[in-house]
Amino acid sequence: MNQNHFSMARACTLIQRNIIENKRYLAMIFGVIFGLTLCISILITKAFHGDDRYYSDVAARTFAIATAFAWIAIITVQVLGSIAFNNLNSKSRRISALMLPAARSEKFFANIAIYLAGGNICLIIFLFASDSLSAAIFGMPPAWTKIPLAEMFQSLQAAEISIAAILGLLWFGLFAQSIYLIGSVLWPRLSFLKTFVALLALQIVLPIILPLDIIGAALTNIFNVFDNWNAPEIVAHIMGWATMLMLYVLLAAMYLIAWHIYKRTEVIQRFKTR
Amino acid sequence: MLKIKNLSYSYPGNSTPVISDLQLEIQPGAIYGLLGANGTGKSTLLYLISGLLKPATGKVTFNNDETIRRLPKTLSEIFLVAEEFDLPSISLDEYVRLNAPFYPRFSIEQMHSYLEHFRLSADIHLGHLSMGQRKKAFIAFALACNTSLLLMDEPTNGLDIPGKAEFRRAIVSASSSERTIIISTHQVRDLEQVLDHVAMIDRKGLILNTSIAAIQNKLQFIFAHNPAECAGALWSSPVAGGYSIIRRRDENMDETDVNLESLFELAYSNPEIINAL
Repeated sequence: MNQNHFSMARACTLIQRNIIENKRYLAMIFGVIFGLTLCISILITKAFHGDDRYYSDVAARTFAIATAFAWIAIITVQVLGSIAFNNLNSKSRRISALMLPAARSEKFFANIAIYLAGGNICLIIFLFASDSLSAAIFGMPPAWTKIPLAEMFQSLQAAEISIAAILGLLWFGLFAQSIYLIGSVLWPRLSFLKTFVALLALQIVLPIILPLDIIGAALTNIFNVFDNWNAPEIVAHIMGWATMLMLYVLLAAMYLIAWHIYKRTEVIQRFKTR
Repeated sequence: MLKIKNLSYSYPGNSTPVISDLQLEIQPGAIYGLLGANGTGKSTLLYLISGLLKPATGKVTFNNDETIRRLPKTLSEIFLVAEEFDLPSISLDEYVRLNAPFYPRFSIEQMHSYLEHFRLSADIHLGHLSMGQRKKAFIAFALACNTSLLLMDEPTNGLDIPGKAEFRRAIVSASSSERTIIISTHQVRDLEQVLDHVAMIDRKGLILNTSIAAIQNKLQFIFAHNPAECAGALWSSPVAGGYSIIRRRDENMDETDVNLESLFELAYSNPEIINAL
């Protein structure tokens, strides 16, 4: 355990340490997420559950669950991103975290593993569990059983579209999370609020300082070139997947930015906002 | 060995450096007292030594590795007992199980021995302890890690009177030729009997860096009953019943215990005398 380079064994020991030392906090966070998800799915299911007068509207329930879960997911992943580095949110915790004899990459990896990877997996499990439980309570089929898997992969084209849609949705959630991850490293205290305010400020300031209308027009012209190209279908496929790849490269860049900020963390918080 | 070269640091937004061009070499096997007035950068220096702050200029190396790199091997040889420390709300056993693997020379037997020094049981829950008890438990863990460099920032703050005596006994039993302990403190009386080296800093840098033995060799710290006895003293101050004075020691004079408070006041009021020594 004494080597200076990244050690998976030491990283796993660190993950175990962080989970156990913060077990109450993690239990509270994940308990709230699951509780909220379950409550909302029960309320939705109850609304669409048939009684003596009305039939159960399975389709409407499925749509409502999907919409509600989409909102829950997008907010939760951002919250998870914003708490990823809460072990730096006070001077004493910062000292404890920074002085622990582990590589910086291991410490970064451990936080990402617990709050992002672990958190996202738990969220998916909670969504499935909440849907199944609430459906079971009211004797309705869970929404996830209504996912048209067969139709999604019935042909090569359908499969390509389905996979692209899944990857696109996944990217959207992870990208939103990565913004809050960067915020978590910059402002470990009240991270969610500060990151949200920073994004709001960017939305106000950017249109003023950048000629967004000119940039938008330029991009439209570029897309029109491809639209009017009458290129073979294969080119459209390649362009589509190349765009997807670039989006994931951008996502990787966000994690790299978070890593570079984390590497330079000191006991005092340089980007303190009051 | 700890080496500090041309070290300067100022906090963000503050043009006045807290530490300016500091040079210091600390040999292994000593218990250093780091003394200085408020705001002279004692805690900052400890943070710089442990790699928690990046120097504006200069560098700090421990065993030839720059501490700012925070390499695991370096960190496993440095333990910082900060004035504000964090302990999770878990049992001490669990805390040791989770954290000891990161310190290759951690000894559970020594941990239990230090806990005995502090009259703490081994089966305690960290979340159920008072501030002073948590500090004792943390210090016991720090000592048991057997790091080559142990840094302590105001370790006796929050300890009761028996706790301070227990701390002194624990530090003395933990000292060895391979371990360096640096204690930053205002409470010099708590640690006078324990320190064997003293480093005093002010905003201009290091004003004193010497061993207690060297001070005892060159200075006498005595109590004078009347003002006449203060004649020729390097420094004097009225105390209950007389005067506390410092005078040069000649070879035929007895060695006395060092009064660090008095030495501190002499160093700050007449640094040229200290330099001349």
